[in-house]
Amino acid sequence: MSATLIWAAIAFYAVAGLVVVALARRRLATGAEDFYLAGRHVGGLVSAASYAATTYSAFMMLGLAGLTYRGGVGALGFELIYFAGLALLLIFGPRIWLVGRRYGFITPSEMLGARYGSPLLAGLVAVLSCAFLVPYSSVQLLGIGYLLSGTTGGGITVETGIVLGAALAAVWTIGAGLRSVAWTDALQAIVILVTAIAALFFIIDALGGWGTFLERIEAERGPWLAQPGPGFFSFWTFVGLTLPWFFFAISNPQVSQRLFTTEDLGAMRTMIIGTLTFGLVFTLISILWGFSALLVVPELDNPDLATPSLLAGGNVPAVIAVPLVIGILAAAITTVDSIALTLASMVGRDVYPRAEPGSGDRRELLVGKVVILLVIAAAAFFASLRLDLISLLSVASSAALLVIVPTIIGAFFWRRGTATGALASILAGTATVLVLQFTGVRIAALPNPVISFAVAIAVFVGVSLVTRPPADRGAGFIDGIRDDLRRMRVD
Amino acid sequence: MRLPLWVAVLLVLLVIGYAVPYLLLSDVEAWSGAFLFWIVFGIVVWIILVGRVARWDVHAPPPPRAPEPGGRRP
Repeated sequence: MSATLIWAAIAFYAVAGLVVVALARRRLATGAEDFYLAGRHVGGLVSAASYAATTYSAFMMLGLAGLTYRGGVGALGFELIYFAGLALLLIFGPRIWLVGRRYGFITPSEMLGARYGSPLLAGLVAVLSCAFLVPYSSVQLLGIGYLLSGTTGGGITVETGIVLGAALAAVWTIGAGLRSVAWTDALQAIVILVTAIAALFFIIDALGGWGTFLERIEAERGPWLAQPGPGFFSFWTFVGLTLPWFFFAISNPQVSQRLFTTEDLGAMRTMIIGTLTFGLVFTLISILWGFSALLVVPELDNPDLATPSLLAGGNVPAVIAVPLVIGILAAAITTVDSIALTLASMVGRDVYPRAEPGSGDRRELLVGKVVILLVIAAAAFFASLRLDLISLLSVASSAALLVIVPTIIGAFFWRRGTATGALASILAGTATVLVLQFTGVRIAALPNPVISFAVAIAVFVGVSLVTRPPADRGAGFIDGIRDDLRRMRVD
Repeated sequence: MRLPLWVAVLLVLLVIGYAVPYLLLSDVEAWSGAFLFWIVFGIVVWIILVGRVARWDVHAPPPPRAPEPGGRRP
């Protein structure tokens, strides 16, 4: 694929994005609530497309297709266990929306700090989220680099791709906060789904049609259709990969913050149904895409190059391949901009005011915008270090955020949970993640996320039981919303 | 607190989702093995979740909003 053609398409995408950002800015009012949450007035369809675009990132067409190429059908199971984890949206979505509306929370860390009566807890969650999500963002930017370099045969370098992605993410975020992020997300979600489906049909056609494709995979790549298949997805590897992703919807603040933003419960329902439908279709497309790469480009050393190699091969006409490249590029950007926006809100509200008490709304927003630039610059720097295998690194960040999950569940379901228990749980869980990661120590055959999650649960429960719970014992989060939940017929 | 039926069904489904491909379908090197199983798994999950949110009463009056961000703490 010619670099000039890709550059022209990027220019078109950039102009379209700038128009969307300019339109979003016209709606922008003053204040942090409007910048970070679009005034809690996001409608159902935009919420659905934006949530789906943020959660189903460039990982799908790059990392998941690569994981299929490497390990076979286990990649489908992995993604569908995550899909089942979207059930958490039915349980926590309305609860987070209700307390957000009632108490005016803007960030998930602020919410936890208020629930447990501990601003320190809010600050800790904000700082740890930054530490874990910057590497995750860098993986997205690296994905852009691989994609542009791979599809143009090196005509666009990996470094250029990283810088381009970072620059666009910064503009999309600072432009109009969540409004510009959500609207560009929605645009991207539609482009990537339509072009991915079309591209898959062209590839299958080039392979001789669906019948030939299915027969050839069974004949030539039979082990890829069974578990553990060619060997990558041993049972414990599968558990280690799926456990953090199952809790993604509540552990990752860039998606849980979206639960504050819907205009009403109906919009949240549309968001959930839309995300589930998009997710199921896109998962199937990405997995079949990965299988087709096994036949078209069978000898790749790096599975993450499966998609760029497929698109560069000439089987997909440029009229489909080029928009798909842009769709994947935009998918990576939407994940980075959502993370940057969320981290900015957390630092601006939960960390900075502790260092500079009495800072107002304007100052908070200014700090937030500086944080957006710092987060994206740091992500671009880490991406330029070219750390290995996209999918595994994404999962590692998710595993680290898993240690916050016991505190989140406790906030809504356990009156006895305490701030000390939450702080100790998150610190002990994080320490376990870091020690296991950097020393390479293994405990029995258990995957690291299982151990750090177990430590976080045990410490949260143990320390909470021997310390004093908040005076109201979480009444606002448990008893205070019970009537609302019953009226809305939410479990 | 009682566990809602759909949550219980989903938990059972998750156990099956881990167990069946590794225990019963590990030798089936065909599309009709783990691939078909997980596709059916995904569709059943979709039906359970969409079926549950469809019963939400989205017209119930929402609670009052906070006067300002972070303005009213529990």
